[in-house]
Amino acid sequence: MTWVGWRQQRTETLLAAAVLALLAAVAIPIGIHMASVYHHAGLSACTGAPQPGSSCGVAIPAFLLRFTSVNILFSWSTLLPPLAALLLAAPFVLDLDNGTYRLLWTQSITRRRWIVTKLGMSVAAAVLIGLLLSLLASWSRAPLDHLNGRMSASTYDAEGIVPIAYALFVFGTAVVLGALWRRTVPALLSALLVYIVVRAFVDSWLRGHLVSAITTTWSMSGAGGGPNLNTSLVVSQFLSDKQGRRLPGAHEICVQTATSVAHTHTVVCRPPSSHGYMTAVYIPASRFWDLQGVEFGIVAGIGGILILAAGWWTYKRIA
Amino acid sequence: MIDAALRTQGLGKRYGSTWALRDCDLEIPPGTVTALVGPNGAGKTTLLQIAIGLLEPSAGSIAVLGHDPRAEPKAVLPHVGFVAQDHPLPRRFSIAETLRLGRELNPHWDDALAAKRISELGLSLKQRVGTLSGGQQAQVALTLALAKRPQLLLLDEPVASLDPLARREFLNTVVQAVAETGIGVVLSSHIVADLERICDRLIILAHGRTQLDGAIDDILAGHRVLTGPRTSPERVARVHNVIRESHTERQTTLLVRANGHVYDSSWELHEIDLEEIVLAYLDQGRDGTRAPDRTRELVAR
Repeated sequence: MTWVGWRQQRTETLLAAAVLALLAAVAIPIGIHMASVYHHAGLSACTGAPQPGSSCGVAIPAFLLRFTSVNILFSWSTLLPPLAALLLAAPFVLDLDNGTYRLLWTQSITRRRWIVTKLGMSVAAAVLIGLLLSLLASWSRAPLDHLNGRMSASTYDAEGIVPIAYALFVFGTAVVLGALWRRTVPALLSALLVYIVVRAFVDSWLRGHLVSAITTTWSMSGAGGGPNLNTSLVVSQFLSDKQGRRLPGAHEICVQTATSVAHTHTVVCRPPSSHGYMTAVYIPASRFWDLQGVEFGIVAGIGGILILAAGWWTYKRIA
Repeated sequence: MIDAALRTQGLGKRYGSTWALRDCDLEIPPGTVTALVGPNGAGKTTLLQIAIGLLEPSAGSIAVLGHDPRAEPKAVLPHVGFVAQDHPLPRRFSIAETLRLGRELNPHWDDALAAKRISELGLSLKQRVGTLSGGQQAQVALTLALAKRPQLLLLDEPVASLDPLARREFLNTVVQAVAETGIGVVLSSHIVADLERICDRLIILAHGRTQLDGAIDDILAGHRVLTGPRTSPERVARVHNVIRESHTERQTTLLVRANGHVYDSSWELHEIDLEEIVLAYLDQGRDGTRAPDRTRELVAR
């Protein structure tokens, strides 16, 4: 059965590997180039929020501006693990779609063995490719991450273990829809749609509530300002009084999940009143792995349940 | 030695509130070639899919080669060849890979037989399954089932989608396999032609129920057409099962399953071919009654 399973998913696995190779071909030269520029500019000494007027204060924006397009390009790489997983879900659904499962289940192996082998091999491939994509993204983006942090959606979703969780989630959605529907293309497209909706929801709202956030209030008239929000995940930020109470009539401002520094600088906040205080609720960069762990647990857990449900439905209900 | 290749008792399969197969009692002796005949939706596919364990019955029991296919798949699957309707094959596989699939998944796989069959068909091992004609794909699927070295071969509408030439070649392969190995075959079809040539038993299924079950020779010997002056079939029905009656102004024609000889000299006797017998049963099944019920109704009139 191992050979049969491999033969049936060979094309998809090679295609997913080709996506990985393509990204490597782009990301490795860019990563090397970026790292050398980074070291020559002496940016490794600059961490946290740059002080205006310091050499870092000039060099950081210059560096980020130079690599803006790279940053945008890399933000698309968050889609690759789920797309690879979608591809790898296809062979399972294709068997149900084409009716070839009737051939395979009427050889001498049990359908349980077929389900376990097929799902197991595709899941293993999806996890492996997700892991490699994540490692590649983390390595090549390192200079940008050093300056921007890894908390913005375009980075956070590409690095660590969360990409694997989304790969499992998309895979699970695709095989469940495929088992219920038994039509490959609609099932895969719907799974992609579900993924986009879920990720939009997680990126824009849920993630800020998965781990406890820090609330800080600071005076806007004082020097130095508040905490380094550039590298944090900002849940909310508003004008407040000294105790951090929201000022009546003050709109929520500067609401953003910290994107790049270059972007932050263009956000037009409310003109700071000299007496005003600002309060921010945020998850600092130091909680990256806590957040990744919780999010992985939830998303991969749902993905795992979906995969088991697809296996169970196929075992019980399909003939 | 098992006494039946396939035996069902009160077997039924229900989808929602409709029964695809109901109260099905069958006993198919080993080593026979049995045709399962009936219109579309008669329950043929359901019966065969239950027999190979693809479907779970809703009622009754089934034993294939003495075992329950759902509860003991490992006792049934290696010994039963199955070709599903439309004979699905992985289209991306080459023929060589398709044979490897058979070798990987079956313990009694006969590689020499498979290779011989493929070369007899004039196919190359390198050809992709997706590029083959429907008839060739059916033959490859049959090869896969035969090289498994089964004791029983289940074929679900194997020739329905084939042109006459491919149909003949396919059935010849089945006949040849039967002659060489003494394998038992159950094949479903709604095409009656050809069956007489290759089958020795016939089961008529309609509306989920068995209408007729017996050896084809007995069926042919037992059915007669009676023609005589216009009359009610009452007297005949007392002795024989009247399957079909038709009347013109002067004449009555009856198709009967005779219980012994017809002695009444007022009737003229004719022989009848299998296709007409099958059609008569299917026609009769259409109003939902079974042969004995119909007879009783006629007697009472």
